[in-house]
Amino acid sequence: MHVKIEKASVWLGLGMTGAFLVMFWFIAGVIPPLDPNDSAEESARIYSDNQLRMQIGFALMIFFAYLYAPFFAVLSRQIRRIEGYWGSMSVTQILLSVTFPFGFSLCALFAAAAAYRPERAADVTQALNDVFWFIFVGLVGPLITQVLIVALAVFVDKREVPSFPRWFGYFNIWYAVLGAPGCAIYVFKTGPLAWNGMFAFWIPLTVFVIWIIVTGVMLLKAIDVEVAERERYAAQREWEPAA
Amino acid sequence: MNQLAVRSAVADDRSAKRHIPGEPGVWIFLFGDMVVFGVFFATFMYERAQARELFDDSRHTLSIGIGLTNTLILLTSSLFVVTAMRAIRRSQRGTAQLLLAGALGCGLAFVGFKAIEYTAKVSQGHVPSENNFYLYFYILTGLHLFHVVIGLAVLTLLLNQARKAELSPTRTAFVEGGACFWHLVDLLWIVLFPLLYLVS
Amino acid sequence: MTIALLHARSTYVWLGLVIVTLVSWAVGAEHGVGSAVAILVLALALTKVRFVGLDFMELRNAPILLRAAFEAYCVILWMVLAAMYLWL
Repeated sequence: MHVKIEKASVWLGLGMTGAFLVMFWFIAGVIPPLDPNDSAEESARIYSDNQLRMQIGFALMIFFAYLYAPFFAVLSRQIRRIEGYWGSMSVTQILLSVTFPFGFSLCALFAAAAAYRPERAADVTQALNDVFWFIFVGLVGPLITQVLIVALAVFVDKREVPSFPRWFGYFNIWYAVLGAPGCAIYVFKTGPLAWNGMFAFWIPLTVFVIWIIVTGVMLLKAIDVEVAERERYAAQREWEPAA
Repeated sequence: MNQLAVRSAVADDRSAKRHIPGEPGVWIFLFGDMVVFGVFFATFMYERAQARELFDDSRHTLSIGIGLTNTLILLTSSLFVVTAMRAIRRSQRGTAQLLLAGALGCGLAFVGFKAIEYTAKVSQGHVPSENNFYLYFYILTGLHLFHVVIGLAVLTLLLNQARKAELSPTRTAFVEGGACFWHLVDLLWIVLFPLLYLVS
Repeated sequence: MTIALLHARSTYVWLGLVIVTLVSWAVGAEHGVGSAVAILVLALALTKVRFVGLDFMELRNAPILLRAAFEAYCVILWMVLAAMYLWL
């Protein structure tokens, strides 16, 4: 088992979160979010006034978003270890992890298109901008489902030395409940459930950053648990599970 | 009381002091929820400060009777749950199941009254898009209602567990934690009711 | 059997909570905008929260740290909401 590579994958996910904040906040400037109540002209003007920094920020995100994949590979593997085989929990983790980087890169693609031709009709730019936020803030289903599966796995882990402490299961449920309101943005243009609102944007963003840091630390510890288990199997000359 | 009884009573007290209801992990979730709802409450107060008259006028269009009834219903359901916990500890399974069923009934009544309230408000023309007060009213009570529905599922699980003759430590922790979640649902409404119906 | 079970602290707390709820409603239903009554109503609410935590969630017998954190929450939430009511 390549312990250093596994742990580096976790750190990569943590680093990517910092990078995501830099790309979207400092470079592209889309955090704090645009106002869904803006007119088409106002939205288009924001894109044309800030064209270069937005294009660079989005281009970087489109390129680097996939560096989230190894983090989720480690997460899926740890769930598989709890399950004992590639069962529905761990395979679903993989399936949903596939969609995760798209939550960043796909939305950035639309925003990059919005910034690409400032001379076009403002309505078109606004529509592309809408889709950026619809994906970035609104597409919460995959991650919510993933963390609920993690919580389930933590609670059904009956092994002597579990991979995760029980409080981590409750922590994932907490994240799911707080991250969920993002799905309401499709209905609101103002207020706390709009894409720039307290409940739909700021709280989910904050708890997401907390979630990835805590999960990263927990994964590093789970890797240590795995290493110890493999050494035990080796010492007892038992077959160790390949995956 | 003789020496032995006094000493064992004190020992009971000391060991009772160290009991975390449920398990430590549950409190991460419960406190987390309490803190975030605190943020929601503060956000509501902030919005209220931007439009005091609007909020006060809108508040008067609420059915305070239903709000009050729902508060009393949830308080009673919590009493049922905590008494059921004591029944479980004394292995009085039948009584525990009866009390939990009662709590479940209270929860369903709450949902029923909420549905009536929402229907009445909407038919009077008070929809979330009417003004900021009603936007927050529906969002805050809706989020709470979501917690109530989850709470109903948890109560059903507790009802199931109460049928067992004896609970393992993990199961006991789960049951206590589930009970605490229901009390959280009650607790949040205890703040929501005065916040929305009285203080606005 | 049930009656015997109900002879407990939690039942008396429940009675107190019901009374405080009714008092809050009577006092707070008509008080206008920006009055001290609202602060009282909020204080009553957070006091109810405290008793739900202590006697229903059974935090009275919990480790001091957990109980203190809960009580701190009640106090801080009341202060924040009351301050926002008065001074925003």
